[in-house]
Amino acid sequence: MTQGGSWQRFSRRGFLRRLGLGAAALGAGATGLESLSAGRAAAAGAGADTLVVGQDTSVQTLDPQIVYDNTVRITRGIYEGLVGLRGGTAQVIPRLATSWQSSPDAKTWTFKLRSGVKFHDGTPFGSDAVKATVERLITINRGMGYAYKGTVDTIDAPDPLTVRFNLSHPDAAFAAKLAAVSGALMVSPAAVKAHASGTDLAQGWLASHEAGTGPYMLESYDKGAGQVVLTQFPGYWGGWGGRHVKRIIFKITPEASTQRLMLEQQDADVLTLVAPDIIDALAKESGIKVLSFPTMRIFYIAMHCQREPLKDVKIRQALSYAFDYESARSLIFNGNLEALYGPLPNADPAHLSPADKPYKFDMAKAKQLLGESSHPNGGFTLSLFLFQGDQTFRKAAEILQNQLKQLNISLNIQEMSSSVLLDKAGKPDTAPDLLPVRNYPDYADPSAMLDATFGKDAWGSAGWNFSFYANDKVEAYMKEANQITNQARRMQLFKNAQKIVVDEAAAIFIGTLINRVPMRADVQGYSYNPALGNTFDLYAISKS
Amino acid sequence: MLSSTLASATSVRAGPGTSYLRRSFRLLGRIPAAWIGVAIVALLLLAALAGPAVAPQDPYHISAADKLRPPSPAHWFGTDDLGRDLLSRVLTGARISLAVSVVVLALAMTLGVGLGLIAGYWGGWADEALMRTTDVFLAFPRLVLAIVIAATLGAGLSNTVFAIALSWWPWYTRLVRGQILSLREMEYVQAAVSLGGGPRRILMRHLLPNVATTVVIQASIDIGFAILATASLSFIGLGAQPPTPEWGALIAQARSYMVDAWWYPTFPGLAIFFAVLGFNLLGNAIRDAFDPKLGSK
Amino acid sequence: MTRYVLRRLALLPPLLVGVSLLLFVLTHLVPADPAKLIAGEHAGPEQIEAVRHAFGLDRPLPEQYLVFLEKLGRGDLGVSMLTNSPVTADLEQYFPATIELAASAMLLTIVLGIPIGVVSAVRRGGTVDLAAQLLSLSGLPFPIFFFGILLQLVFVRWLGWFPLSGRLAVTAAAPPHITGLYVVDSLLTGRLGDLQSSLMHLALPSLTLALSSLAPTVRMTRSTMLESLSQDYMRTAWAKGLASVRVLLHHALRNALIPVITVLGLYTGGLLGGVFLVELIFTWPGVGLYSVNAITALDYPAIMGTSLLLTVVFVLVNLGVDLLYAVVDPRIRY
Repeated sequence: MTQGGSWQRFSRRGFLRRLGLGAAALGAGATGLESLSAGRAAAAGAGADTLVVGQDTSVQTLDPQIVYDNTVRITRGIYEGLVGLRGGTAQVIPRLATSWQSSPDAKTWTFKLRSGVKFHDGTPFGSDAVKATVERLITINRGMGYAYKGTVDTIDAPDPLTVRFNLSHPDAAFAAKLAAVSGALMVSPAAVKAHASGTDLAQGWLASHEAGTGPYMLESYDKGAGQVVLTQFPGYWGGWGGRHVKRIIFKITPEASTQRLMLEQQDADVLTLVAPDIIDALAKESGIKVLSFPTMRIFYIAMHCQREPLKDVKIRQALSYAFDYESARSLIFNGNLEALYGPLPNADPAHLSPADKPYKFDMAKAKQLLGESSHPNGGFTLSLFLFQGDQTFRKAAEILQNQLKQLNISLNIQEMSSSVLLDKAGKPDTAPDLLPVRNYPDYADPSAMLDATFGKDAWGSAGWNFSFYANDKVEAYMKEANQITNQARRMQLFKNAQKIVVDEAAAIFIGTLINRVPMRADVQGYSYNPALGNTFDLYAISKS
Repeated sequence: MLSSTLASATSVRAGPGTSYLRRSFRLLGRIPAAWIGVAIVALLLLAALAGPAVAPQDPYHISAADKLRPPSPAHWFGTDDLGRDLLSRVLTGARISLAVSVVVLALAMTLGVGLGLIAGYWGGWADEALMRTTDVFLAFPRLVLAIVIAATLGAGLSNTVFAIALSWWPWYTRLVRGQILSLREMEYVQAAVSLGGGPRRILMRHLLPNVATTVVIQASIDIGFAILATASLSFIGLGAQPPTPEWGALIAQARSYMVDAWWYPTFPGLAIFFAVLGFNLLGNAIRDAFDPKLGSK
Repeated sequence: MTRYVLRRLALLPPLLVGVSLLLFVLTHLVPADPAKLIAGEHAGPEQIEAVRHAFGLDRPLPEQYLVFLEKLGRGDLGVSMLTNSPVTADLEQYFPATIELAASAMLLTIVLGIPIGVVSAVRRGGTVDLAAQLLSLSGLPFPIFFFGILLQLVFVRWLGWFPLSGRLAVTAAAPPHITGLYVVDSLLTGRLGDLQSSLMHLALPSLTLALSSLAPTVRMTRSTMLESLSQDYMRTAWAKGLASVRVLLHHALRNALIPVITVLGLYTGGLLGGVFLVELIFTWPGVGLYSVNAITALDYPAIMGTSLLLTVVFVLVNLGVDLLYAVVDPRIRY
C-alpha cells in the first residue's frame, strides 16, 4: 500500500506537473501564436509600402547576364535594358535608350541613350556601360548570350550617349532581343572592374550583390532564410511620383501549399505558383483576388520525327487524334488553358487559326490513321521522359498513356533529373520518342519560338527542337522571313511554315497556359507582359 | 536494420523473476503481436497475389469527372487527381512494394552473405579489404547512401532496388563474418578441417547452414524496412515511375493536394505503416521462436 | 582516453578518402551532363563546352578525382554548379539549420523518450504504459514523410497552431548571426519574438524527425528500467523506504542510461537520413533540402560536399556516443 502510494505520488506529482508544464507551454505557444499572427496582421496592414512576393525559384545567382530562370522577377527590378515593351504588347519602347534606328540592311543599330541616369553605385550610365555589358554577356555566354554571340560583331561608343552595334548578319529582331526579359540588362562597368576576381568579370560578386540602374536596390539577400529584399533607389531616373511600394520582399517558397498559406495568412501579397487547384481554392477566399493573363507559354508533347515508329507521319497524326485535349484541360488546368493551333500562341501576331489544326480527340480517326500506317495494329512501345516532380507533365503523360492503351501502344514513362533529361533528350539517338515541353519565346518575334522549336539547326541541345523535326520548305520560309522587313509578308511566311509543321504533326499541341496570379485584394497595378516570361513590373505595382 | 534487432529484442524480453510480467507480456504483447503480424502479412500477400483481381476498379483508369472525390461507397478510399480509384491503386501498390522489398533483400543477402563467408572464412587480406570496404559503406547514414546511388542511377524502381541493396549488403557481410569467426573455432568445424575437408565442403556443409538461420531471421525483419526505404526514395522522386501506384510515389503526388484532399496521402501512408508493422511483428516473432538467444542478447 | 580519442580520430582521414572515392565513382557512373542544365535552356554546344571547361568536367575522371582530393585537403569542396558559390560557403549557410533541426529532434527524443519510458515501466499496464507500448510499436514502421504530412494536416491546416514550413515568420528578419541556430541566436540577443517564432517553426519538423528515434528510446528505457527495478538492490532500497524518486534516478535510471545511449547512437544515422525527408516536407532550409536540389540537377560538388559532411557528422557522433559511455558508466575505460 505504502509502496503503491509512493509510486502513485511520484508519478502523479512528477508527471502531472510535467504535463501541466507541458500544457502551460502549449498554452503559451498558442497565445503566442495569436499575438504573433496579430503582430503579423498589423505588420501586413501597416505595410502598405512593403510588398511580399512568394517566389517559386531559389536564387542561384543575381548576375544579370546569367540569370535566366524565374529569378529574373527580381533582377528586372534592379536592372534595366536599353528598351522595354509597352504594357502587355510586343511594341518596343524607350527605356535607357531614348531613340534608335537601324540601317536599311538591319546590320547596324544605333541607340541614343538617356542622360542623367545613375547606377546604384553612383557612377553615371553611358555608352561605355552598354558596350561593357553586352561584351560581358557575350564573354560569359550563358542564358541569352546565344542571341548576341555570333550576331554582334563590334560595338562602338562614339560619344557617352551614343552606342552603335555592328552586326555580322541582318537581324530584324535585334531591338526585340534587347527588350528580352534577360540578357542585356545594364550593369555598372566600374563595379564590375572593382569586384572582378581573376577573369570572372565579377561573376562571384554579382551573384549576391548588384550594380544596376533600376528602380529598386538590393537591400539584403539572405540565402539561409531564403529571402531577397529590395528597396527604393532614391536616385532613380524615373522618379518616385505616383504609387509605388518602398520595399519588396521576395520570400523563396517553392512549395505551392506553403505559398497558399502565406497568402491566406497575409504573409504574402503576391504569389508565383502555378498549381491550378490551389489557385481555384484561393479564388474563392475573401480578401484574395486572382488575375488572369494570356501568355505565350505553349504546352505540347514533342514527337521524335527521326526514329521509328514515330518517323511515320500517320502514327504521329494518330497520336494527335488520340490525345484527350478536353480531359487534359480540365484535369490538369481546371479548364484554364487557352487553345493552341500550332507552334505559336494566340498572343503572337503570326498564330494560326482553328481551321489550320484538324486534330481533336477522336479515337476512331486515330485508329483509322494507325491502320493506314506502318504499324497498323500498334503493338509497339514508346518512351516518354518527364522532368522530375513536374505534376503538369506527369498528368499529361498519364492521360496520353491511358488513351494509347486503346491503340495497343504502350507508353513507357521515365522521370529523371533535369540535367540527365536535357542531356539525353539533346541527342537524337538517346532522346525519347515523346517529350512534354513548355516553351515561350525569348524575345517578342515569331522567329524566336519557331526557329528554336522546329528549326533544323535547333535539334535537341542546339536549341529546343525535341521533335528533331526538319523540313526544307519550313526552313526556306523562315529564312526568307528573317531577311525581310515587310511585317505583313513576314507573318504570312511564318504562317506557311507553321501549317506544314502542324500538318506533319511534329508535336501534340495541347494548349497555351494562362497566367493566373493570386494576390491580396489590396494589390494594385500588377502588370504583366507575355513576352517577358513570368515577370511582372515591380515599378508599377502598389498597395492601397 | 541490425539496430532494429537490438531495439526490438529488448522489448519482448520479460524481466526475469516477475511471473506477472512474463504472463502479461505473453498475453498482451507477444501472442497478439505475432498474430497481428501474421494477419497483416497474410492480407498483404493476398493483396499482392490477387491485387488486380480484387481491385474494384482499373487502377489506371482516368476519369475527368471523378477528380479528387472523397471516400464514398463508390470509392472507399476516394479518388486521386486524375480521378482514379485510390483503393484500387493502393491494392495494386501492395504487389509492387512486396516484390521490390523481396528483390532488395535477395540482392543484399546474396552479396552480403557471399562476401561475409569469404571474409570470415579466409580472413587475411581479403577479410581486411572487405571490412575496410564495409567501413566506408557503413560510414554513411543509411538512407543517405541509397539516395545518392539512386540519384545518380536515375529514377526507376529497378534502380531503387539496386540502390537500397547496394547500401544494405555490408550489414549482412558483418553479420555473417562475425558468425563465421565464432563458428570456425567450434570443434566440429575444426574437426572437419583436420579431416581434410575442402573449403567448399566446409563452407557449404558446416558453415552456411548455421549462418542461414541468423540471416533469414534478420531478413524477415528487414523486409519491412525495405518497403519503408523504397517508399522514402519514391517520395523524394527517385523511385517508381508514373503511373505505377507505388505507395511512396502516391504520397509524393498527393502532397500538393493534401490541404483539400486528406484521403489522398492518408490511405497510401496507412498502407505503408501497416505493411511495415506487419513484417516487423512477424519478424520479431520468428526471431523469438527460432533463436531465443538473439532475443536476450 | 585521450589516446583512444586520437586513435579514433586518426582513422577518420582514410575513411573519408574511401567515402569520397565511393561518392566520386557513384556520381560519375552515369552519363549525365550538368553543363547543359547550367548553361541554360537555349545554350549552344559552345556555351555548354565553356561551362564544362569552367568546372573541369572536360578532364579525365581520375584527374578530376585527384583534383577533388587535393582541394579537399585544403578544405575546398569546389564550386556548386547550381548556386555558383563555393560548396563550403553554401554548407556554412545551410548547415546550422540542419544542426538546429537534428539537435532539437535529439533533445525531444531524450526529454520525451526517457520520461515516457520510465513512467511506463514504473506504472506498467497503466494508460501511459499502453500509450508508450503503442508508440514504441508504431514509431519505427511509421513513414516519417507521412507523419510529417499528417502533422501538417492536423496542426497547421485544421487546428492552425503551428506554421506550415520554413524557419521563421516571413516578415521577420533572421536574428544576428552568432551560431546560425535561430533559437540560440535570438535567445542570446534577447529577441524574444524571434525566439518564439523560431520555436514554433521548429516544433513540427523536429517532432517528425524524432519519431523514429523516439520509439526505440521509449522501448529501451522501459525494458531496462523494468530490469533495474527487479534487481535485488532496488528491492532493498525500496524496503528501506528510501525516497522513491531518488532511488529511481540514482540507481535504476543510471543503469538504464547506457543502453539508451546505445540506441540514440544507433539512430543518429536514421536521423541524418531523415533530414532529407523532413527538410523536404517542411521546406526547412538545411543541407537536406540543399542536397535534394543538388541531386535534381546532378550538381556533383554539392552532392559530394553534403554527403561528406553528413558522413563526418555521423562518424563523430558515433565517437561521441562511445565517449559518453565512459562518462555515464565509470567502469568503462578506454
